[in-house]
Amino acid sequence: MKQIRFLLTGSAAGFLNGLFGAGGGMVVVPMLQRDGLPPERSHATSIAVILPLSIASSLLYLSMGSIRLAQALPYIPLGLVGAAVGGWLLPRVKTVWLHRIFGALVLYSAARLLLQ
Amino acid sequence: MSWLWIAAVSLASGLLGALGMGAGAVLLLYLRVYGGCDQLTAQGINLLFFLPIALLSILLHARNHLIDWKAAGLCVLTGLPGVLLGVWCGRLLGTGLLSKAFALLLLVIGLRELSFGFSKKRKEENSHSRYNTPRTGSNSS
Repeated sequence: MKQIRFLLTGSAAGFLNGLFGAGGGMVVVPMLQRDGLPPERSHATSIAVILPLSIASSLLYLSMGSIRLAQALPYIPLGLVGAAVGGWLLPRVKTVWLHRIFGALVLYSAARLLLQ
Repeated sequence: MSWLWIAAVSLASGLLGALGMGAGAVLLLYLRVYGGCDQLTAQGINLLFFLPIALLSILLHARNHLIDWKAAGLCVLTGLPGVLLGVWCGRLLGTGLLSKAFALLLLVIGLRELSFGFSKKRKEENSHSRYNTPRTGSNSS
């Protein structure tokens, strides 16, 4: 039963990743937590799920000509610095405040996008 | 000024990505709302950005034994056909509708993050010991 839940979650994550280029973690993290994984392991495992899905999506987007590799380059160097900090922080920090700030920021931006 | 924004957004996206908290939302939002990109281009940039970030994060988390490889493998198995379906649907919707659908997804993510942020503290206070001792049902890496 648990394996079926993983398979269903994977397909939902893949669908969101292909459709929006993001959002897969939204379904993977809660499912892993429901199955008893501690929060930090759920978040880490979700990245291992999303990476292969993102590779597949990227290849499809590139093949459709929607993007060029160079467009992402300016964001990557400092993104890697942020990732290194995040990788160090995950086992050490309680993310309650990050969730709150991130949630408020996302809601504000969603409203702006809807009103555009 | 724009380079400052790019630096801030890159750092925040990398950080949130490594924390498994949705790096995509931050970079995508910046590209759509402030960067002047259309929805499909923003999504593509976000996907490419995420690849090295995720790789580095996985290396760091694997070293800390935080990844459940079996669960991840099962999710990926059905995730790949899901990607094909998602990309196909995205092309059908077109950038206008896709953008509105993305905004709705953000609303859901935002509400979920806020409710999680406010309920998590209580849960942690009530059942902190549960997280220190993972259930036997979860697969170790």
